[in-house]
Amino acid sequence: MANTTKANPNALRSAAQALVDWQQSVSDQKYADIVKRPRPEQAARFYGQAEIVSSLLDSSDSYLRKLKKQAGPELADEALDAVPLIGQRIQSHELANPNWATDKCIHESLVSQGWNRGDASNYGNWHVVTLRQMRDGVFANPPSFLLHKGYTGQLPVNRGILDRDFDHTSSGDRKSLDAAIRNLLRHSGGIFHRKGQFLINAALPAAWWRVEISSAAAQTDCGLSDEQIYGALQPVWSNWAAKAAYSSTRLAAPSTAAAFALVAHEHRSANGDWPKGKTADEIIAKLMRRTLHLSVSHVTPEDLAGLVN
Amino acid sequence: MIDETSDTYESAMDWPEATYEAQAKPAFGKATTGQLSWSIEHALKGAPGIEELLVAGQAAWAVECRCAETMHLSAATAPTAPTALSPNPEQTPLNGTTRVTVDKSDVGDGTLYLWPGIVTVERCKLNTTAANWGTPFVEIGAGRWLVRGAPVKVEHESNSMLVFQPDESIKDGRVEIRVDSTGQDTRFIVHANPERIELLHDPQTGALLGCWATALAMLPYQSAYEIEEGDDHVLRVPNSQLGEALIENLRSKDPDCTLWNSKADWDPMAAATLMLELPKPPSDKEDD
Repeated sequence: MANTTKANPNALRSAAQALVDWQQSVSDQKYADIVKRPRPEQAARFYGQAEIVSSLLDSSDSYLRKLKKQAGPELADEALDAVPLIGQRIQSHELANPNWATDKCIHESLVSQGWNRGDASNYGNWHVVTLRQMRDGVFANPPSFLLHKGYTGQLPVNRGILDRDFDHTSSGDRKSLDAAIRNLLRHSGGIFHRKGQFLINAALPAAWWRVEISSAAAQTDCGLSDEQIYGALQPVWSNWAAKAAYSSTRLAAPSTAAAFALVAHEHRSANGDWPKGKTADEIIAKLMRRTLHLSVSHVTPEDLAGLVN
Repeated sequence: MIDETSDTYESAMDWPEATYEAQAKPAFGKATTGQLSWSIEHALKGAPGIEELLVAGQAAWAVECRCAETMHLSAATAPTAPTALSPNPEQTPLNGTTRVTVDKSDVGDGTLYLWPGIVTVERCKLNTTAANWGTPFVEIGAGRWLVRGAPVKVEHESNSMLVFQPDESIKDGRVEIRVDSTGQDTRFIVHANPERIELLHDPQTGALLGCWATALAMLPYQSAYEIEEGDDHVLRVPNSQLGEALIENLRSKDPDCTLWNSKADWDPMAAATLMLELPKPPSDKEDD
């Protein structure tokens, strides 16, 4: 298949920008900022949020229509066609509980259609990818799970307030509606004010990057497969990705990622479980600290792993 | 952001008189389509222990390429080692060149840094006699940076504040400048018909100046480019590396240049001319 993202970059860019602008119109950086706004503005935002949540609870199609109405005509079919389609249906529980088979499928599908690290580092692009999966039936319909915290559990907002007059809602109702919108934004590709957090909060980019990093690490001579490396990274993904993306690019180098996996496998052999929490944090911190004066590309994963022990 | 420890990094060596310099230049015409390529020239002077390792092939001129946005990290070393030590290590530098090539797809519109230096490529003994370490040799493993230069931030079209985007949908000669805040930093995208785009790049026509001035005029209205003054009275743009770099650029050329934190005083055309460093037009009059 052709490189989809290069097929219509202008349509994709316009759509991503429209979504980013829309995000800012639908929610502030902090909920506390919303309540400081003039009452008519708060009311308008409340109705806009309620329309979005109602439409999403109705169907994917309804949501896309409502979003297009609020965000603009840039969310045209040609923009959605400019991003890849995942080759199989994805259930919400697969997003809530990442696993190798699903994540690998997501990565392979997108890469085979030209998706690369450059594309995947743009959080606006991920919003468009998410919409495409909704439109073409990859996600459950309606995709209400996107409103839930962590994809599972209960709808954080009482459905009864969605048709209610703003003046007849409590501050708790409004906050819960805003929480649902924030969950939707997080899960769709990230919140504008939290750029980069999509690696952690949004399931599709997180899945793609987990496999991308694991595949690159498996190209080293570490002796582990991409699946084995993924197995070590997945339980600590949010901690590892936060450090690799925001603190030390060195950690994301193939040899260092492979070294982490070697240490994690060794830990699992000795203790019966993957390193998690504080133990994993310590391994990550040691790798960052002890590679400070090294060109990690010139050191074998085995030697880098040796620095941790 | 490159690395949490890099902000305080200073290039220094233990050889009292040693110096290391590196210069990066785009290697136009040699990279294939879809690649970015640079040539980095290194010069080391006054560090005989390191020179010995370079000549022996146990250390190499190296460049690490890092892009935080795409979590890309790769390294390249010079293909050949120097054949002889510098005849006078204190006076004559030892030179080397490393060529680095990065796939555009591994960078996207992210910021790429090149970190030049000299790295050990195998376990070896570094002669430290002249470094006054109190020991004649130090044994070190592969991958150790012996020297690191300051990182070079690479300018490539897609990580510029102003990006030119050919747009087939624009059939006539119109030019549109749109804000793009979908990536890690907010940019301005110039859309025009592909034929028109070529003309816009030409600094002689004034069109490039017009594009820059228009984009700069939009800065006071972009929340990402909001300027904040710290307790130390230094002006910063916390949400935009491009904004930070622009302030640095403008202030390095004119310390009194007004900035976009004051809409009334901000002069986008003056800032654009300052940035582009346009030469004075040739005079009609002959010199006396």
